Amino acid sequence: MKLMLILTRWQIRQLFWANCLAMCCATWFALMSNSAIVFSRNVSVAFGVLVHCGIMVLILGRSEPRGPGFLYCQGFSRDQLWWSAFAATVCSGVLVCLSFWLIIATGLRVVVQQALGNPWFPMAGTIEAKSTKWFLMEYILLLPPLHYIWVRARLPQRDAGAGWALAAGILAFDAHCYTYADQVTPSSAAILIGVTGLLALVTLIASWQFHRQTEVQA
Amino acid sequence: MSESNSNAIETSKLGRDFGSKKVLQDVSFAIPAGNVCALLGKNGVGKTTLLKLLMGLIQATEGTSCLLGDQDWPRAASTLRRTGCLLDGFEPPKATQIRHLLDLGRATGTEFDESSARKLLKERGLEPRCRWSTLSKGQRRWVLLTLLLCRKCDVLLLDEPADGLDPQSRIELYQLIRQQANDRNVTALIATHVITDIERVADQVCILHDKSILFQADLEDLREQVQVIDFDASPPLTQLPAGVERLHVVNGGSVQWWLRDRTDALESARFENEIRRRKASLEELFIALTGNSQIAGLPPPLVLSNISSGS
Repeated sequence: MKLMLILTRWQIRQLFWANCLAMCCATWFALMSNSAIVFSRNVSVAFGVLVHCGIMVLILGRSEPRGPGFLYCQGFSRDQLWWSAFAATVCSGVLVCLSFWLIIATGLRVVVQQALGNPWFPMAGTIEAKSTKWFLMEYILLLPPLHYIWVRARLPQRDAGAGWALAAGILAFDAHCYTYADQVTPSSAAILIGVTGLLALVTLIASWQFHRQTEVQA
Repeated sequence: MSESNSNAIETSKLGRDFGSKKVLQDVSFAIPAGNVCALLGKNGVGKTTLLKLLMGLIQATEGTSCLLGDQDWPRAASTLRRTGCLLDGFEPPKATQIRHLLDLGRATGTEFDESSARKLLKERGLEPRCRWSTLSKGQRRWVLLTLLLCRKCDVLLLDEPADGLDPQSRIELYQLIRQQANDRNVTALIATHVITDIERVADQVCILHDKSILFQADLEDLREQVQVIDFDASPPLTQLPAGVERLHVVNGGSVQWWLRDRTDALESARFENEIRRRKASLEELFIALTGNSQIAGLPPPLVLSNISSGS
Protein backbone atom coordinates (compact mmCIF):
# COMPACT_ATOMS: atom_id res chain seq x y z
CA MET A 1 0.00 0.00 0.00
CA LYS A 2 2.82 2.36 0.94
CA LEU A 3 4.52 1.52 -2.32
CA MET A 4 1.41 2.36 -4.31
CA LEU A 5 1.04 5.65 -2.44
CA ILE A 6 4.62 6.67 -3.23
CA LEU A 7 4.27 5.61 -6.87
CA THR A 8 0.92 7.39 -7.29
CA ARG A 9 2.36 10.52 -5.74
CA TRP A 10 5.27 10.32 -8.18
CA GLN A 11 2.84 10.01 -11.09
CA ILE A 12 0.62 12.87 -9.85
CA ARG A 13 3.73 15.05 -9.65
CA GLN A 14 4.18 14.56 -13.41
CA LEU A 15 0.65 15.88 -13.90
CA PHE A 16 1.18 19.02 -11.81
CA TRP A 17 0.90 21.59 -14.60
CA ALA A 18 -1.93 19.79 -16.37
CA ASN A 19 -3.86 19.66 -13.09
CA CYS A 20 -3.12 23.31 -12.29
CA LEU A 21 -4.47 24.31 -15.69
CA ALA A 22 -7.55 22.10 -15.32
CA MET A 23 -8.25 23.46 -11.81
CA CYS A 24 -7.92 27.04 -13.05
CA CYS A 25 -10.35 26.30 -15.90
CA ALA A 26 -12.79 24.56 -13.53
CA THR A 27 -12.61 27.45 -11.08
CA TRP A 28 -13.11 30.01 -13.83
CA PHE A 29 -16.08 28.08 -15.20
CA ALA A 30 -17.66 27.61 -11.77
CA LEU A 31 -17.33 31.30 -11.00
CA MET A 32 -18.17 32.86 -14.34
CA SER A 33 -20.73 30.57 -16.01
CA ASN A 34 -23.96 32.57 -16.04
CA SER A 35 -26.21 29.68 -17.08
CA ALA A 36 -27.30 26.91 -14.75
CA ILE A 37 -24.67 24.17 -14.43
CA VAL A 38 -26.50 20.96 -15.21
CA PHE A 39 -24.83 17.66 -16.02
CA SER A 40 -26.14 16.90 -19.50
CA ARG A 41 -26.26 20.39 -20.91
CA ASN A 42 -22.63 21.35 -20.43
CA VAL A 43 -20.77 20.42 -23.55
CA SER A 44 -17.98 22.79 -22.50
CA VAL A 45 -17.45 20.86 -19.24
CA ALA A 46 -17.54 17.55 -21.11
CA PHE A 47 -14.99 18.86 -23.60
CA GLY A 48 -12.82 20.22 -20.78
CA VAL A 49 -12.87 16.86 -19.00
CA LEU A 50 -11.97 15.09 -22.26
CA VAL A 51 -9.04 17.46 -22.88
CA HIS A 52 -7.77 17.11 -19.31
CA CYS A 53 -7.99 13.31 -19.49
CA GLY A 54 -6.25 13.35 -22.87
CA ILE A 55 -3.36 15.50 -21.61
CA MET A 56 -2.89 13.36 -18.50
CA VAL A 57 -2.85 10.14 -20.48
CA LEU A 58 -0.47 11.68 -22.99
CA ILE A 59 1.97 12.67 -20.22
CA LEU A 60 1.91 9.35 -18.38
CA GLY A 61 1.71 7.18 -21.47
CA ARG A 62 4.73 8.63 -23.26
CA SER A 63 7.31 6.08 -24.22
CA GLU A 64 10.20 8.44 -23.60
CA PRO A 65 13.04 7.19 -21.43
CA ARG A 66 13.02 10.45 -19.47
CA GLY A 67 10.03 10.32 -17.17
CA PRO A 68 7.65 7.41 -17.67
CA GLY A 69 10.31 5.07 -19.10
CA PHE A 70 12.55 5.69 -16.10
CA LEU A 71 10.11 4.02 -13.71
CA TYR A 72 10.25 0.78 -15.68
CA CYS A 73 13.94 0.43 -14.75
CA GLN A 74 13.41 0.94 -11.03
CA GLY A 75 12.29 -2.55 -10.07
CA PHE A 76 8.53 -2.02 -10.07
CA SER A 77 6.20 -4.57 -11.57
CA ARG A 78 4.06 -3.74 -14.59
CA ASP A 79 0.91 -4.00 -12.48
CA GLN A 80 2.21 -1.56 -9.89
CA LEU A 81 3.10 0.93 -12.63
CA TRP A 82 -0.20 0.53 -14.43
CA TRP A 83 -2.41 0.96 -11.35
CA SER A 84 -0.37 3.87 -10.06
CA ALA A 85 -0.74 5.65 -13.43
CA PHE A 86 -4.48 5.01 -13.49
CA ALA A 87 -4.89 6.03 -9.85
CA ALA A 88 -2.94 9.23 -10.53
CA THR A 89 -5.29 10.22 -13.35
CA VAL A 90 -8.39 9.44 -11.27
CA CYS A 91 -6.99 11.39 -8.29
CA SER A 92 -6.30 14.32 -10.61
CA GLY A 93 -9.90 14.18 -11.80
CA VAL A 94 -11.06 14.15 -8.18
CA LEU A 95 -8.88 17.19 -7.44
CA VAL A 96 -10.39 19.17 -10.29
CA CYS A 97 -13.93 18.14 -9.35
CA LEU A 98 -13.21 19.02 -5.73
CA SER A 99 -12.10 22.53 -6.63
CA PHE A 100 -15.23 22.88 -8.78
CA TRP A 101 -17.43 21.63 -5.96
CA LEU A 102 -15.81 23.88 -3.37
CA ILE A 103 -16.44 26.99 -5.47
CA ILE A 104 -20.14 26.18 -5.62
CA ALA A 105 -20.66 24.59 -2.19
CA THR A 106 -18.96 27.40 -0.29
CA GLY A 107 -21.18 29.95 -2.02
CA LEU A 108 -18.36 31.70 -3.89
CA ARG A 109 -20.23 31.22 -7.17
CA VAL A 110 -23.35 32.79 -5.64
CA VAL A 111 -21.36 35.84 -4.47
CA VAL A 112 -19.66 36.37 -7.83
CA GLN A 113 -22.79 35.81 -9.94
CA GLN A 114 -24.81 38.07 -7.66
CA ALA A 115 -22.14 40.75 -8.02
CA LEU A 116 -22.33 40.32 -11.82
CA GLY A 117 -26.09 40.88 -11.65
CA ASN A 118 -27.23 37.37 -12.62
CA PRO A 119 -30.99 37.25 -11.81
CA TRP A 120 -30.84 33.54 -10.84
CA PHE A 121 -28.65 34.22 -7.83
CA PRO A 122 -28.90 33.98 -4.87
CA MET A 123 -32.10 32.06 -5.67
CA ALA A 124 -30.23 29.15 -7.32
CA GLY A 125 -28.05 28.83 -4.23
CA THR A 126 -25.62 25.92 -4.10
CA ILE A 127 -27.88 23.32 -5.67
CA GLU A 128 -25.58 23.08 -8.73
CA ALA A 129 -22.92 21.42 -6.57
CA LYS A 130 -24.77 18.14 -7.15
CA SER A 131 -23.56 18.17 -10.77
CA THR A 132 -20.00 17.54 -9.60
CA LYS A 133 -20.60 13.82 -9.13
CA TRP A 134 -21.59 13.55 -12.79
CA PHE A 135 -18.44 15.32 -13.88
CA LEU A 136 -16.43 12.92 -11.74
CA MET A 137 -18.25 10.02 -13.33
CA GLU A 138 -17.27 11.43 -16.71
CA TYR A 139 -13.62 11.26 -15.70
CA ILE A 140 -14.02 7.67 -14.59
CA LEU A 141 -15.77 6.70 -17.83
CA LEU A 142 -13.34 8.52 -20.13
CA LEU A 143 -10.02 7.54 -18.56
CA PRO A 144 -10.02 3.77 -19.27
CA PRO A 145 -10.52 4.04 -23.07
CA LEU A 146 -7.93 6.82 -23.24
CA HIS A 147 -5.37 4.78 -21.27
CA TYR A 148 -6.16 1.91 -23.59
CA ILE A 149 -4.78 3.91 -26.56
CA TRP A 150 -1.21 4.24 -25.26
CA VAL A 151 -1.12 0.75 -23.81
CA ARG A 152 -2.18 -0.73 -27.14
CA ALA A 153 0.33 1.45 -28.99
CA ARG A 154 3.19 0.04 -26.94
CA LEU A 155 2.43 -3.60 -27.64
CA PRO A 156 5.13 -5.34 -29.69
CA GLN A 157 2.53 -6.43 -32.25
CA ARG A 158 2.31 -2.85 -33.49
CA ASP A 159 -1.44 -2.65 -33.99
CA ALA A 160 -1.74 0.78 -32.42
CA GLY A 161 -4.53 1.72 -34.81
CA ALA A 162 -6.82 -0.79 -33.17
CA GLY A 163 -6.48 1.02 -29.85
CA TRP A 164 -7.35 4.36 -31.40
CA ALA A 165 -10.32 2.90 -33.27
CA LEU A 166 -11.77 1.19 -30.22
CA ALA A 167 -11.22 4.20 -27.97
CA ALA A 168 -12.78 6.53 -30.56
CA GLY A 169 -15.81 4.25 -30.83
CA ILE A 170 -16.27 4.14 -27.08
CA LEU A 171 -15.83 7.90 -26.76
CA ALA A 172 -18.42 8.47 -29.51
CA PHE A 173 -20.82 6.20 -27.65
CA ASP A 174 -20.07 8.07 -24.40
CA ALA A 175 -20.81 11.39 -26.14
CA HIS A 176 -24.07 9.98 -27.50
CA CYS A 177 -25.16 8.83 -24.03
CA TYR A 178 -24.09 12.13 -22.52
CA THR A 179 -26.18 14.12 -25.00
CA TYR A 180 -29.31 12.03 -24.85
CA ALA A 181 -29.32 10.76 -21.28
CA ASP A 182 -31.82 13.39 -20.14
CA GLN A 183 -34.05 12.97 -23.20
CA VAL A 184 -34.96 9.35 -22.54
CA THR A 185 -36.80 7.65 -19.73
CA PRO A 186 -34.88 7.19 -16.46
CA SER A 187 -34.68 3.44 -17.02
CA SER A 188 -33.23 3.93 -20.53
CA ALA A 189 -30.78 6.49 -19.17
CA ALA A 190 -29.69 3.99 -16.52
CA ILE A 191 -29.14 1.36 -19.24
CA LEU A 192 -27.10 3.81 -21.33
CA ILE A 193 -24.94 4.75 -18.36
CA GLY A 194 -24.65 1.09 -17.40
CA VAL A 195 -23.46 0.11 -20.88
CA THR A 196 -20.97 3.00 -20.89
CA GLY A 197 -19.71 1.89 -17.49
CA LEU A 198 -19.35 -1.68 -18.71
CA LEU A 199 -17.34 -0.53 -21.73
CA ALA A 200 -15.12 1.52 -19.44
CA LEU A 201 -14.62 -1.50 -17.19
CA VAL A 202 -13.75 -3.74 -20.12
CA THR A 203 -11.19 -1.28 -21.50
CA LEU A 204 -9.78 -0.81 -17.98
CA ILE A 205 -9.22 -4.54 -17.56
CA ALA A 206 -7.92 -4.87 -21.12
CA SER A 207 -5.45 -2.01 -20.59
CA TRP A 208 -4.24 -3.55 -17.34
CA GLN A 209 -3.73 -6.95 -18.94
CA PHE A 210 -2.18 -5.58 -22.15
CA HIS A 211 0.13 -3.34 -20.13
CA ARG A 212 1.93 -6.47 -18.92
CA GLN A 213 2.97 -7.10 -22.51
CA THR A 214 4.02 -3.57 -23.44
CA GLU A 215 7.54 -2.64 -24.48
CA VAL A 216 9.59 0.29 -23.22
CA GLN A 217 11.75 1.77 -25.94
CA ALA A 218 14.17 4.64 -25.77
CA MET B 1 19.13 -23.60 -19.09
CA SER B 2 20.30 -26.50 -17.00
CA GLU B 3 22.75 -24.34 -15.11
CA SER B 4 20.20 -21.71 -14.19
CA ASN B 5 20.65 -22.41 -10.48
CA SER B 6 24.25 -21.22 -10.48
CA ASN B 7 23.91 -18.66 -13.25
CA ALA B 8 22.32 -15.37 -12.35
CA ILE B 9 22.07 -14.40 -16.01
CA GLU B 10 21.69 -16.81 -18.87
CA THR B 11 20.55 -16.52 -22.46
CA SER B 12 20.01 -19.11 -25.12
CA LYS B 13 19.82 -18.25 -28.83
CA LEU B 14 18.37 -14.88 -27.87
CA GLY B 15 17.42 -12.59 -30.73
CA ARG B 16 15.59 -9.37 -31.36
CA ASP B 17 14.37 -7.70 -34.53
CA PHE B 18 13.22 -4.14 -35.00
CA GLY B 19 11.02 -4.38 -38.05
CA SER B 20 13.17 -5.89 -40.76
CA LYS B 21 16.40 -5.03 -38.92
CA LYS B 22 17.92 -7.83 -36.91
CA VAL B 23 19.76 -6.32 -33.94
CA LEU B 24 20.62 -9.46 -31.98
CA GLN B 25 20.77 -13.03 -33.16
CA ASP B 26 21.69 -16.29 -31.52
CA VAL B 27 23.02 -14.65 -28.35
CA SER B 28 23.97 -17.36 -25.88
CA PHE B 29 25.98 -16.72 -22.76
CA ALA B 30 25.84 -17.25 -19.00
CA ILE B 31 27.15 -15.33 -16.03
CA PRO B 32 27.54 -17.19 -12.74
CA ALA B 33 26.19 -15.52 -9.61
CA GLY B 34 28.70 -13.19 -7.97
CA ASN B 35 30.59 -12.39 -11.14
CA VAL B 36 31.22 -8.99 -12.67
CA CYS B 37 31.05 -9.25 -16.44
CA ALA B 38 32.15 -6.58 -18.88
CA LEU B 39 29.91 -6.41 -21.92
CA LEU B 40 31.93 -4.92 -24.73
CA GLY B 41 31.04 -4.12 -28.29
CA LYS B 42 31.20 -1.40 -30.89
CA ASN B 43 28.58 1.35 -31.08
CA GLY B 44 25.19 0.10 -32.24
CA VAL B 45 26.08 -3.54 -31.82
CA GLY B 46 23.12 -4.20 -29.49
CA LYS B 47 24.51 -3.89 -25.95
CA THR B 48 21.66 -1.73 -24.69
CA THR B 49 19.12 -3.91 -26.47
CA LEU B 50 20.58 -6.94 -24.71
CA LEU B 51 20.26 -5.22 -21.32
CA LYS B 52 16.68 -4.22 -22.12
CA LEU B 53 15.88 -7.80 -23.07
CA LEU B 54 17.34 -9.07 -19.81
CA MET B 55 15.40 -6.48 -17.80
CA GLY B 56 12.23 -7.40 -19.69
CA LEU B 57 11.68 -3.92 -21.10
CA ILE B 58 11.36 -5.42 -24.56
CA GLN B 59 10.43 -8.89 -25.73
CA ALA B 60 12.77 -11.26 -27.52
CA THR B 61 11.75 -12.28 -31.01
CA GLU B 62 13.64 -15.55 -30.62
CA GLY B 63 15.35 -17.58 -27.92
CA THR B 64 15.12 -17.21 -24.16
CA SER B 65 16.74 -15.19 -21.43
CA CYS B 66 16.87 -16.11 -17.78
CA LEU B 67 17.39 -13.59 -15.00
CA LEU B 68 17.70 -14.95 -11.46
CA GLY B 69 15.96 -18.12 -12.60
CA ASP B 70 13.06 -16.22 -14.16
CA GLN B 71 12.56 -17.04 -17.84
CA ASP B 72 9.18 -15.38 -18.23
CA TRP B 73 8.34 -12.22 -20.08
CA PRO B 74 7.51 -9.82 -18.61
CA ARG B 75 9.66 -10.47 -15.58
CA ALA B 76 8.03 -11.36 -12.28
CA ALA B 77 7.73 -8.60 -9.67
CA SER B 78 10.07 -10.53 -7.36
CA THR B 79 12.76 -10.66 -10.08
CA LEU B 80 12.45 -6.96 -10.87
CA ARG B 81 12.75 -6.08 -7.16
CA ARG B 82 16.08 -7.90 -7.03
CA THR B 83 17.39 -6.31 -10.23
CA GLY B 84 18.98 -2.91 -10.54
CA CYS B 85 19.06 -1.42 -14.00
CA LEU B 86 20.75 1.71 -15.26
CA LEU B 87 20.18 2.47 -18.92
CA ASP B 88 21.65 5.41 -20.74
CA GLY B 89 19.01 8.11 -21.20
CA PHE B 90 16.50 6.66 -18.75
CA GLU B 91 16.27 9.51 -16.27
CA PRO B 92 13.63 11.04 -14.03
CA PRO B 93 11.80 14.20 -15.17
CA LYS B 94 13.69 17.48 -14.78
CA ALA B 95 11.53 18.76 -11.92
CA THR B 96 12.31 15.71 -9.76
CA GLN B 97 14.14 16.34 -6.50
CA ILE B 98 16.63 13.89 -5.02
CA ARG B 99 14.31 13.28 -2.05
CA HIS B 100 11.65 12.02 -4.49
CA LEU B 101 14.16 9.50 -5.79
CA LEU B 102 14.95 8.44 -2.23
CA ASP B 103 11.20 7.88 -1.72
CA LEU B 104 11.20 5.75 -4.84
CA GLY B 105 14.14 3.75 -3.50
CA ARG B 106 12.19 3.03 -0.31
CA ALA B 107 9.14 2.05 -2.36
CA THR B 108 10.87 -0.74 -4.27
CA GLY B 109 10.33 -3.00 -1.29
CA THR B 110 13.91 -4.21 -1.18
CA GLU B 111 16.32 -3.56 1.63
CA PHE B 112 17.09 0.05 0.74
CA ASP B 113 19.95 1.48 2.78
CA GLU B 114 18.77 5.07 2.88
CA SER B 115 21.36 6.31 5.36
CA SER B 116 24.20 5.06 3.12
CA ALA B 117 22.53 6.64 0.11
CA ARG B 118 22.22 9.99 1.87
CA LYS B 119 25.84 9.75 3.01
CA LEU B 120 27.14 8.97 -0.50
CA LEU B 121 25.14 11.84 -1.91
CA LYS B 122 26.15 14.28 0.80
CA GLU B 123 29.83 13.52 0.20
CA ARG B 124 29.34 15.08 -3.22
CA GLY B 125 27.28 17.98 -1.99
CA LEU B 126 24.01 16.55 -3.25
CA GLU B 127 21.22 17.59 -0.92
CA PRO B 128 17.78 15.92 -0.93
CA ARG B 129 16.12 19.09 -2.19
CA CYS B 130 18.40 19.43 -5.24
CA ARG B 131 16.41 19.43 -8.47
CA TRP B 132 17.36 17.12 -11.31
CA SER B 133 17.56 20.01 -13.75
CA THR B 134 20.25 21.74 -11.64
CA LEU B 135 22.59 18.72 -11.56
CA SER B 136 25.49 18.13 -13.92
CA LYS B 137 25.68 15.00 -16.07
CA GLY B 138 28.12 13.36 -13.68
CA GLN B 139 26.06 14.27 -10.61
CA ARG B 140 22.92 12.83 -12.20
CA ARG B 141 24.76 9.62 -12.96
CA TRP B 142 26.09 9.44 -9.40
CA VAL B 143 22.62 9.94 -7.91
CA LEU B 144 21.16 7.10 -9.99
CA LEU B 145 24.08 4.80 -9.21
CA THR B 146 23.89 5.57 -5.50
CA LEU B 147 20.20 4.71 -5.40
CA LEU B 148 20.85 1.53 -7.34
CA LEU B 149 23.75 0.34 -5.22
CA CYS B 150 21.94 1.13 -1.97
CA ARG B 151 18.92 -0.92 -3.05
CA LYS B 152 20.92 -4.09 -2.39
CA CYS B 153 19.94 -5.83 -5.62
CA ASP B 154 21.14 -9.30 -6.58
CA VAL B 155 21.77 -8.39 -10.21
CA LEU B 156 22.99 -5.12 -11.69
CA LEU B 157 22.49 -4.36 -15.37
CA LEU B 158 24.48 -1.23 -16.11
CA ASP B 159 24.82 0.64 -19.37
CA GLU B 160 27.84 2.96 -19.40
CA PRO B 161 27.64 3.50 -15.63
CA ALA B 162 30.72 5.71 -15.46
CA ASP B 163 29.62 8.02 -18.26
CA GLY B 164 30.21 11.60 -17.07
CA LEU B 165 31.83 10.61 -13.76
CA ASP B 166 35.14 12.12 -12.68
CA PRO B 167 38.09 9.70 -12.25
CA GLN B 168 37.70 9.57 -8.46
CA SER B 169 34.00 8.72 -8.71
CA ARG B 170 34.70 6.13 -11.40
CA ILE B 171 37.19 4.37 -9.15
CA GLU B 172 34.80 4.53 -6.21
CA LEU B 173 31.93 3.23 -8.33
CA TYR B 174 33.82 0.18 -9.51
CA GLN B 175 35.11 -0.43 -5.99
CA LEU B 176 31.53 -0.42 -4.73
CA ILE B 177 30.44 -2.84 -7.44
CA ARG B 178 33.38 -5.12 -6.69
CA GLN B 179 32.62 -4.94 -2.97
CA GLN B 180 28.98 -5.89 -3.56
CA ALA B 181 30.04 -8.81 -5.75
CA ASN B 182 32.47 -10.04 -3.08
CA ASP B 183 30.32 -9.43 0.00
CA ARG B 184 26.81 -10.11 -1.24
CA ASN B 185 27.38 -12.28 -4.30
CA VAL B 186 25.91 -9.60 -6.55
CA THR B 187 26.14 -10.29 -10.28
CA ALA B 188 26.86 -7.34 -12.53
CA LEU B 189 26.69 -7.07 -16.30
CA ILE B 190 28.30 -3.80 -17.31
CA ALA B 191 28.15 -2.50 -20.87
CA THR B 192 30.90 0.03 -21.41
CA HIS B 193 33.39 1.51 -23.82
CA VAL B 194 35.77 2.59 -21.05
CA ILE B 195 37.63 -0.69 -21.04
CA THR B 196 40.53 0.40 -18.85
CA ASP B 197 38.13 1.01 -15.94
CA ILE B 198 36.14 -2.18 -16.19
CA GLU B 199 39.30 -4.24 -16.59
CA ARG B 200 40.15 -3.53 -12.96
CA VAL B 201 37.01 -5.17 -11.56
CA ALA B 202 35.64 -7.59 -14.14
CA ASP B 203 35.83 -11.34 -13.67
CA GLN B 204 34.57 -12.06 -17.14
CA VAL B 205 34.46 -10.40 -20.49
CA CYS B 206 31.76 -10.81 -23.06
CA ILE B 207 32.20 -9.30 -26.52
CA LEU B 208 29.17 -8.59 -28.65
CA HIS B 209 29.93 -8.35 -32.33
CA ASP B 210 27.92 -8.64 -35.49
CA LYS B 211 24.62 -9.31 -33.67
CA SER B 212 25.83 -12.12 -31.43
CA ILE B 213 28.30 -13.03 -28.72
CA LEU B 214 31.67 -13.24 -30.38
CA PHE B 215 33.52 -14.25 -27.34
CA GLN B 216 33.11 -14.88 -23.61
CA ALA B 217 35.92 -15.77 -21.27
CA ASP B 218 37.24 -15.46 -17.79
CA LEU B 219 39.44 -12.39 -17.76
CA GLU B 220 42.25 -13.98 -15.75
CA ASP B 221 42.34 -17.03 -18.02
CA LEU B 222 42.39 -14.77 -21.02
CA ARG B 223 45.34 -12.82 -19.69
CA GLU B 224 47.20 -16.06 -19.16
CA GLN B 225 46.38 -17.35 -22.62
CA VAL B 226 47.03 -14.32 -24.74
CA GLN B 227 50.29 -12.50 -25.09
CA VAL B 228 51.19 -9.45 -27.05
CA ILE B 229 54.38 -9.28 -28.96
CA ASP B 230 55.32 -5.70 -29.76
CA PHE B 231 57.99 -5.14 -32.33
CA ASP B 232 59.29 -2.35 -34.44
CA ALA B 233 57.49 -2.41 -37.76
CA SER B 234 60.28 -0.69 -39.70
CA PRO B 235 61.36 -1.99 -42.07
CA PRO B 236 57.70 -2.87 -42.80
CA LEU B 237 56.83 -6.51 -42.36
CA THR B 238 55.83 -7.97 -45.68
CA GLN B 239 55.43 -11.55 -44.58
CA LEU B 240 54.99 -13.45 -41.36
CA PRO B 241 58.05 -14.98 -39.72
CA ALA B 242 58.14 -18.75 -39.97
CA GLY B 243 55.91 -20.35 -37.37
CA VAL B 244 53.87 -17.22 -36.71
CA GLU B 245 50.38 -17.66 -37.98
CA ARG B 246 48.32 -14.71 -36.97
CA LEU B 247 49.00 -11.07 -36.97
CA HIS B 248 46.97 -8.04 -36.11
CA VAL B 249 47.75 -4.42 -36.64
CA VAL B 250 46.75 -1.87 -34.06
CA ASN B 251 47.17 1.84 -34.59
CA GLY B 252 49.82 1.43 -37.27
CA GLY B 253 52.10 -0.66 -35.09
CA SER B 254 52.22 -4.41 -35.31
CA VAL B 255 50.87 -6.54 -32.50
CA GLN B 256 51.19 -10.26 -32.47
CA TRP B 257 48.61 -12.28 -30.54
CA TRP B 258 49.81 -15.63 -29.50
CA LEU B 259 48.37 -18.61 -27.70
CA ARG B 260 50.22 -19.81 -24.66
CA ASP B 261 50.27 -23.37 -25.86
CA ARG B 262 51.97 -22.26 -29.06
CA THR B 263 54.95 -20.52 -27.48
CA ASP B 264 57.20 -23.15 -28.97
CA ALA B 265 56.31 -21.85 -32.39
CA LEU B 266 56.97 -18.34 -31.20
CA GLU B 267 60.38 -19.26 -29.89
CA SER B 268 61.33 -20.83 -33.19
CA ALA B 269 60.04 -17.91 -35.21
CA ARG B 270 62.82 -15.74 -36.53
CA PHE B 271 62.17 -12.06 -36.03
CA GLU B 272 64.52 -9.62 -37.69
CA ASN B 273 63.46 -6.83 -35.33
CA GLU B 274 63.57 -6.63 -31.57
CA ILE B 275 60.47 -8.02 -29.89
CA ARG B 276 58.88 -7.28 -26.50
CA ARG B 277 56.50 -9.75 -24.96
CA ARG B 278 53.77 -8.79 -22.46
CA LYS B 279 50.23 -9.63 -21.37
CA ALA B 280 47.46 -8.21 -23.51
CA SER B 281 45.25 -5.51 -22.09
CA LEU B 282 41.51 -5.93 -22.49
CA GLU B 283 41.39 -2.90 -24.73
CA GLU B 284 44.02 -4.34 -27.07
CA LEU B 285 42.20 -7.63 -27.10
CA PHE B 286 38.90 -5.94 -27.89
CA ILE B 287 40.38 -3.96 -30.77
CA ALA B 288 42.12 -7.02 -32.13
CA LEU B 289 38.99 -9.13 -31.98
CA THR B 290 36.57 -6.62 -33.41
CA GLY B 291 38.85 -4.45 -35.56
CA ASN B 292 39.09 -4.65 -39.32
CA SER B 293 42.66 -3.50 -39.89
CA GLN B 294 45.18 -6.08 -40.91
CA ILE B 295 48.12 -6.30 -43.24
CA ALA B 296 46.94 -7.10 -46.73
CA GLY B 297 47.58 -10.64 -47.78
CA LEU B 298 48.25 -11.90 -44.26
CA PRO B 299 45.94 -14.19 -42.29
CA PRO B 300 43.00 -12.62 -40.45
CA PRO B 301 43.12 -11.67 -36.76
CA LEU B 302 43.04 -14.24 -34.05
CA VAL B 303 40.25 -16.79 -34.34
CA LEU B 304 38.26 -16.44 -31.17
CA SER B 305 37.13 -19.97 -30.68
CA ASN B 306 40.74 -21.08 -30.53
CA ILE B 307 41.59 -19.04 -27.48
CA SER B 308 38.30 -19.53 -25.71
CA SER B 309 38.57 -23.28 -25.85
CA GLY B 310 41.05 -23.30 -23.02
CA SER B 311 38.84 -21.32 -20.64
